[in-house]
Order: sequence, then C-alpha cells, then structure tokens
Amino acid sequence: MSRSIQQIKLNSTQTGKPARRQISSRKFGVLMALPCVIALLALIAFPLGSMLYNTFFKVNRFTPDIPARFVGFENYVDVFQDRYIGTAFSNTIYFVVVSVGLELLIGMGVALLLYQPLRGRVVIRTLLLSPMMIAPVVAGLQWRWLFADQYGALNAFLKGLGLPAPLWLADPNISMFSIIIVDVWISYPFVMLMFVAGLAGVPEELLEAAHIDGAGYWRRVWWIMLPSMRSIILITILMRVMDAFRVFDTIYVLTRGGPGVSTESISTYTYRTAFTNLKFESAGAMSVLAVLMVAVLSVVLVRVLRGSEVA
Amino acid sequence: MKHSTWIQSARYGALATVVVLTLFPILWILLTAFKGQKDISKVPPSLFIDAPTFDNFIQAIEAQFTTALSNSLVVGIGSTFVAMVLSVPAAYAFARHPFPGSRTLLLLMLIVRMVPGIALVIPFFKMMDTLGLLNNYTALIISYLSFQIPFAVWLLEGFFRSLPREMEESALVDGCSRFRAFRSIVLPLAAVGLATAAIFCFIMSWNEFLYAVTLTRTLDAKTGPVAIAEAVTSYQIFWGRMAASATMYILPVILFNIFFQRFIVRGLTLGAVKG
Repeated sequence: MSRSIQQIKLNSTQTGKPARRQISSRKFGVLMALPCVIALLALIAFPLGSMLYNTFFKVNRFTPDIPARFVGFENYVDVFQDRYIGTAFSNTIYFVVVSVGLELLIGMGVALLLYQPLRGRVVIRTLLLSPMMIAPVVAGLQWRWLFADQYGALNAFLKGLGLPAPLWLADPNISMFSIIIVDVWISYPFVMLMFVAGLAGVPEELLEAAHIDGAGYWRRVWWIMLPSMRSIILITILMRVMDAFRVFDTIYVLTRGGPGVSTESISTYTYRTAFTNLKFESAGAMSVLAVLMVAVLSVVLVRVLRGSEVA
Repeated sequence: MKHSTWIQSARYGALATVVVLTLFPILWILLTAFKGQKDISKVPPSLFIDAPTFDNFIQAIEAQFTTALSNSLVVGIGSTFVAMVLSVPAAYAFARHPFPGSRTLLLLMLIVRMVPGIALVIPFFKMMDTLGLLNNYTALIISYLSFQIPFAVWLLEGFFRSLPREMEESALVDGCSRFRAFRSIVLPLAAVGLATAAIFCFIMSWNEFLYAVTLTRTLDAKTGPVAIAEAVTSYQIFWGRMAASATMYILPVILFNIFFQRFIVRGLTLGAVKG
C-alpha cells in the first residue's frame, strides 16, 4: 500500500502537473451513492408503491381485459373482516413474544457460561453458531424429522424416559410451540453472540470492585453486567422482534400453517391469500398493514440507536 | 474471581449439554442421509446405522439436486457481485463524503432491512411476470438485491468509517483523484470488510426461500432450499432423499463457518450493531 502511494507521488511529480482540481467531496459522495440509491428506489420504493396503489383497486381474475375497478378501502375492509386474519395476527404475536423471550434467556445463559476464561471457548462459540448458518428450510425439515410421530428421534427419547410423547406438529394446541422450539434453536446463537460481544465491554474494575464488596455472582450479573449492556440488549431485542415477526420458512416446511390455522402467521397467511387463494389485492392490503406495523417498530429502533451511542 | 471446582465442573457440564442439544439435530440429519429405508423406519430410531448406504445421495442426484445446487451457486455469486458493486461505493460515500440527506439515506437502509419479505414478494411476482422473468435467474438476483444492498451498505459504512483517514488524505494532497484514492488506497485497506460483506450476501442468498419458492417453477432456476423442501410435502415424504440433499447443501456452509469464523462473528455483530 505504501508502494502505491509512492507511485502516485512519483507520477504527479514526474508530470509536474499542479495539484488537480478535485470535484467537491459532496458531489463525489452523490455520484458514488447514486447507482445504489436508484437501485433501491427501483427495488423497494417502486414495488411497495405499486402494491399500495393496487390495493385500492379490484381486478376480476376471470376477465383480465376489463380494467381494474377503483374500490377505495374495500380491500382493507375485507382484511379486517377476514375470518382467519385475527388468528394469524395473534399467532404471530404469541410466536414473537415467546420465542424472543426464550432466545434472550437462553442466549444470555450461554453467553454467561462462555464469559469466564475457558479452554476451547472460540471452538464452542463457533460450533454453536451452526444453526443460524444453515438454511432455515433445512432447519425446519430436520426438526420435522425429529418431531415425527413414529420414527422421530424426539419421541423415542421421551418414551425411553417414560414421558408422554405428544404429536408435536399434528396437535393444534402445541403445534405453535413446536415451531417456537425450532425458532429458538435457530436464533438463540445470534442472541448469544451479541451478548458475548456485550459482556466483553463490561468494565472489569466494576466487577472486581463489586466482588470485593461482597456482591455474589447473580448480584453482579443483575446490577453490573446487565445495566452496562443495556443498549446491546435493546438492539438485540429489536433485531430479533423484527425477524421473528416475518417468520415464514420454518412454518412453511413444518406445518404449512396447519393443522387448521393453528400455526398460520401473518407472513404465511398473506402468502396463502396471494398464491393459493389468488386474492392478490387482499394480500396486498395485508402486506401494507404488515409494513406499517414494522414501520412503527423501526421508529422505536431508530430512537434507541440514536439515544444510545453504540459505536 | 475464583470459583470452586464444583461450580467450574457444573459450568462445563452445562456447556456440554448446550453443545449437544445444539448440534444433535444437525448430526441427526447427517446420519439419516446415510441410512437405508430399513434404518430410517426403525422403531425406535438408533444412532447406529445397521447398513450404511449412499442410496439417498444417488436418489438426490437422480432427482437432479445437483442442478438446484448449481442454480443456488449462480444466483448467489451473481447477486453478491451486483450487490457489492452497488453497495461499496455508496457505503464509502456515506462514510467519507457525506452530502445533504446522506444521513437519512443511511437510516433508511436500516429501515428497509426491516421490510418483511412477504410485502415485497407480491409486487416482485407481478413485476417479474410482466417482464417475463419468472422462473429465471435474473428474477432471483434482482429480488435478492433488495435485502443484500441494505445489509452490505450498513455493514460497510461502519467499516469504512473505522479506517484511518490519513492515507486517503495524503493521496489527495499528492494530486490523486478522489476515485483513484478510493480504488487504490481505500479498497485494499478494506479487504477484510469487503470479504465479510460478500460472505454474508452470499449466505443470505444461498439460504433464501420465500422469493425462490414464489419466483421459480422448474429446475431451470429452482434453488437448493426449494428442491429440498419438495422432498417432504403432504403428498410425498422421502426422508432419506431430503436428508442427503440437505447434507450436501448445509455442509459447505458449516465448514465455511468453522474456517472463516472470524469473518462470520464480525459480520453478525457489526451488521447488527454498528461498526
């Protein structure tokens, strides 16, 4: 690298040109960012805008030649009157709250286990990241195989211990919880990794001082570690909530939203409305509402990010 | 801070349990891949295979899983390349050459990352249908850019900001153009960040399912996850074939994670928080 600077220096002295007039930093910034901004407009703003526009129209699927009819908010009214949208919504909330909650607990627990000096720490951390690196579809399917009623490993294990062997995916009362198990398995490593990074930033003098003052382990965790990781914890929660909110892949391969609508989420139900029931306008209205919910959530995220300089 | 040996061994025990519980599902799918029909339908299932076999892999290859693999590879490389070409200059501009509104644009990148895929898949489907791009690599590459670019810009902006300014500045003083300083000085310095961003873009594409299942129909463009999911549906269940193709699909990623764990850890934490 130093060589390239020397070369450049040489070049400019050889040609004997006076320092070139540079374009302003601002102009250069705009030029460099422009292609990317245009791409994003085309990739996100345009599709979302056209979808929003279409939700105010109705198309007759069987007579595509007849122009779409303007219907105002009718598609949105349809969404609110839909029989299953409430279930999909409450399933999603249940899923988000329980799975993110469990991920935080487990992620924090494992991060604390990895905190103190330990042989093979990096190896263990690396191995624990595997679930989040593999395709969620594969993760879902391998759990479907573990959950299998007769040939599944999980029930064989439970029966071996003399415990009841539930129908993990076929019983509508527990199917959503089974999906939560899979999501926790996939995502707790992310939480753990964030908390490991957070713990590394806890000032050691504080911990030692507290220790000398006679604070026990859990007191140190509660009064020193957690408060000094406050912003990382908040960001982790928000990242996970956003991600859990859009859950699709695992449900698609585990239950397709069934049995009945017991595991239908906002994403899977919107997908079904669009691509199985071919009601694109209703599905569009559902997506618009989902984007609005996410927008509210991200305003919170931006506030948190601004409020706490996590550099 | 000293711990009694009792607590220390309890800690090791707890960690060992976590490792086993985390890795068992993956191990189980790898084992299943080598089980014949008899071993698969054994009750209760066993960790030991009576008759190890490659039949499942042969079946997966006969079902042309290798085509799906190469589709995934093409889409992954293609989308990563385009995403990097667009994101790297933009991230550099945001980090070093701010302009009115650039701060807002950067925050928008973060917000855009939150848009759920389901909201974009419907307009993408219609768009690709109109353009005649359904069941085509291009459709997937274009739609993957929608999440790769915001991620890469966000990650790289932090990375560029953390680099020392002095070298660029002295190059400018010596009469180097701004673009030349970027290309010959900044990019080589940022190699680690570029690699991290590219690795993540690729893995995101490799693992993606929603767009792939919606925008592709046949093996002309169908990617690995769609092909794997097709082995287990309500109409047909081929656990062995699914396990074999899943093994072929996840093994590279797992090995990659082990060999490049520094990049992965950096990308995950920085990508989420901020460099």
